[in-house]
Amino acid sequence: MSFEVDQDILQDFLIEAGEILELLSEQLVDLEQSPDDPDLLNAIFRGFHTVKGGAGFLQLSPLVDCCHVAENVFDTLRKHQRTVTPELMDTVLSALDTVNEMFEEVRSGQMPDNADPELISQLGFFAQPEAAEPVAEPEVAVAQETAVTATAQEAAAAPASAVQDAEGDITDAEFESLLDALHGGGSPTAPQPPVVSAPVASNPAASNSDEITEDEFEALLDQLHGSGKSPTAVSPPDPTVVPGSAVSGSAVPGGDSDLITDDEFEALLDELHGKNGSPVAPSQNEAESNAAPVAPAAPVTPVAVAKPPAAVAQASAAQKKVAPKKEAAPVAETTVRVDTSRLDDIMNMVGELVLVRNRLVRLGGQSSDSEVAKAVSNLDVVTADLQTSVMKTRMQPIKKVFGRFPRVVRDLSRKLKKEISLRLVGEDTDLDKNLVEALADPLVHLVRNAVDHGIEGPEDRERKGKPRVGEVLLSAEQEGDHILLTISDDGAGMNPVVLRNKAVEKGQLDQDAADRLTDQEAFNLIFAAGLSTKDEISDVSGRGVGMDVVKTKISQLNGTINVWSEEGKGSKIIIKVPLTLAIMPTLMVMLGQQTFALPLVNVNEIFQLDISRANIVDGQEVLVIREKTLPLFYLKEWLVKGSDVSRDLKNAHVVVVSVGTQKVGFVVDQLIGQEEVVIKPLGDMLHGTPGMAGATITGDGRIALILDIPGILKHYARSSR
Amino acid sequence: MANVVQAKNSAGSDDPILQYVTFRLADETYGINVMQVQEVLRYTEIAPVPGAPSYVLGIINLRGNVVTVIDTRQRFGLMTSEPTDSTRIVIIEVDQQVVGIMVDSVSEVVYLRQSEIETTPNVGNEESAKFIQGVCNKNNQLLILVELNKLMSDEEWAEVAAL
Repeated sequence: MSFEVDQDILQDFLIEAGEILELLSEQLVDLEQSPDDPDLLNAIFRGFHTVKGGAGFLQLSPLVDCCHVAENVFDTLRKHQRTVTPELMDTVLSALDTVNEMFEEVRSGQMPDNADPELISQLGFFAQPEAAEPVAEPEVAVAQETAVTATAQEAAAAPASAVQDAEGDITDAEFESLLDALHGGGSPTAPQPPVVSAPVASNPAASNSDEITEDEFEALLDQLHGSGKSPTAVSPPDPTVVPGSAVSGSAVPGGDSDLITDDEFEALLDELHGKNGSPVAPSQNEAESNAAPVAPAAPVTPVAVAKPPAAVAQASAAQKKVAPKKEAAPVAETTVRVDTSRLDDIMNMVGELVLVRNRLVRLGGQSSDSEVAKAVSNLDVVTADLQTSVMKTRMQPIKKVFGRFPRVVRDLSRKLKKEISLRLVGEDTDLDKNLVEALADPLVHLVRNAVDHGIEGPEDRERKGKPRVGEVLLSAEQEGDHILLTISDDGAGMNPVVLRNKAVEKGQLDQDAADRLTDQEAFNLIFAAGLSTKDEISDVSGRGVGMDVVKTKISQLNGTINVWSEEGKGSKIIIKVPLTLAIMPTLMVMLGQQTFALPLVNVNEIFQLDISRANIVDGQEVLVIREKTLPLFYLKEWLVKGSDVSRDLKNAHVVVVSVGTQKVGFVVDQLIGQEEVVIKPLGDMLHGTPGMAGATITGDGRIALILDIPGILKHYARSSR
Repeated sequence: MANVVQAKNSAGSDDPILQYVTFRLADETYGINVMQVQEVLRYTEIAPVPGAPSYVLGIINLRGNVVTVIDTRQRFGLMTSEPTDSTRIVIIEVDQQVVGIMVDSVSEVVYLRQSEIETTPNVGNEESAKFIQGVCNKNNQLLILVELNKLMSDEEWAEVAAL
């Protein structure tokens, strides 16, 4: 089932609510640590509330229902009528999951399904105060009923939400939704009122226009005053309207003057606030329970029992006042949402500019004119600045990825019955947006691994003399033009011997080769496909695919990944990725007449060598350097057709590159130097050519192919043997 | 088919006038639909791409964009030849991808009626026939119209995809 809504509004909602939901999951986990933090409770309450408001406007009633009950729970919590328990958290978190699922459905243009009624009723249970009163049962019933009767609900909840949010921010969408709700709410109640003033209110309220005109607003105000007067007349004989008197009371003083004073308005706000703060605890409601499922609307203004439109009028008047106030507030927006494709365009253009600069720098170097040289070096500086600033616009704090981990760790540790604390360091480290997204999956995997394989159970840990609570540390820091991500745990660590044996068992290595591996290399075996040290496969891990995928992902990002581990002490995985994907530092080399670029991340060192000193082992040329052997390959033979490199060069240039922990030497004809290049994708026809990561345009306007070193080794080194 | 047999003088809306860019390869003249041609470049240095399919000559820098160049001679079953002064690279757009085809020379733009185009006589070998849309005999010269969309035939696509 799909639904028809204004796409712009929907998009705005998706973006905004998406951010809120992300934040919510963080806040919920924080809440477990500090269950009594009123700010946090309020923030969560507001979060659910805002999502509900937006969803209400878009008439996503399942989403509204779910948020509504969740909101109720937090309302109860923040009024200290209940304390945070793990069970409650489980329920709320699963509610958040449900909301997230619905949210995804909405994103894909589907009308979400209704939430699991069991979940809703569970939430409803948590929403009532802990001290179970005899009336508790019917109350829950009411609460649930209200939750389910969506339309009535919307009308009821929305006005409440408006005033509520007066404290926080009122977004446009929310305000719209409010108005909408009011309009909706206005009409059903309209027929009821016996009071003369009521129709005046209901008319504007029920009118279909989106905006309330000045006149209408005036009328509303008048209405409010009118109603302010009339309830005072009515309320004394009505004993049930105890809380109502406050509202009406506040309105009375203004009743004579033409305008509501600020104080009055404040009072009114407070009043409404107090009321709708508890739309779910409809305890005063019992007496008037025959006031139908629209009940929550009723308690907001007790007068409403007699004159619902008055309530609507009041609410809308109040709210109408709130909105302009908010807009006038000095908290001017300092951010602009920009389409990422536009940023990509700018990035590309800056890339072009960098190329032109490179070309000019090269030309400037040739000319002897000092003026030209000056201008060129000026340009050089400016372009570099421009490049960094543009890059910065695409930067996002890694918090976006890290934010989900507290939840992941919490859920997993509860499931695995482990006690784990997660420490996040350097959440504010900025990196390229694409990278942030691309890193999410590998990191989740690594963190899950740390929790599942790394940290032992609490008893185990005590036996080993470690604190019961294991620690997983996730940190990010910038190191030059790279980002270092570290995932470490103080768990069991890895045993290199076990890894070696596994590799032999799975037939990936023969015994000799396995024995020759250093411990470091043995740890890197975990990245090999099909190797898992877990003997059982659980739904968390153990299939031995994960690390392989992680490794592939990271190398796609031009990053490297390394493992350190000490048995009994813990493991540490270090990921190094470039700050950005668009510009890559490379080492330019010449092979024959053609220029090639080697990604600098892979390049370890460069040296000159008398090739005749190379030895041949098992048909493979190797080089002994600092007592280490390196396989030696002639790139030219691979990449330039019909070329043959003489084997007795006295001064060959060797570039040592590393792939994982393996190091390999490439013989090249000539070294040009280091250059930052913009990666240009090869066309569709050439996409996927082995060993080629893309192309770039060099300073002199020629084309250089960027080599994908792991790919090139995989393709050529195997076939050459 | 009916179009082809139609009388030549019926210049109505059902006999539209088409424009073709003509180029020469070896001794033949070929035409490609002008709507598919982006521009014609002089020969520039082509950077070979190791590991690319054999009919791909390499890539060139087209004002900051990387464009793949196809060896049309190889594709048409002709001998390869050294580039000369008149060698051109025709930049075409096929299925939203921009590629360059290297030709011996580019001559002119000709106007052809739909009705003037005849179906291919069974010329040439099997392979090249795939790229031929039709032929046209104008001023005693045979013009071979190339179907660019098929220049990279399905099996070649499969080959590319399999890489």
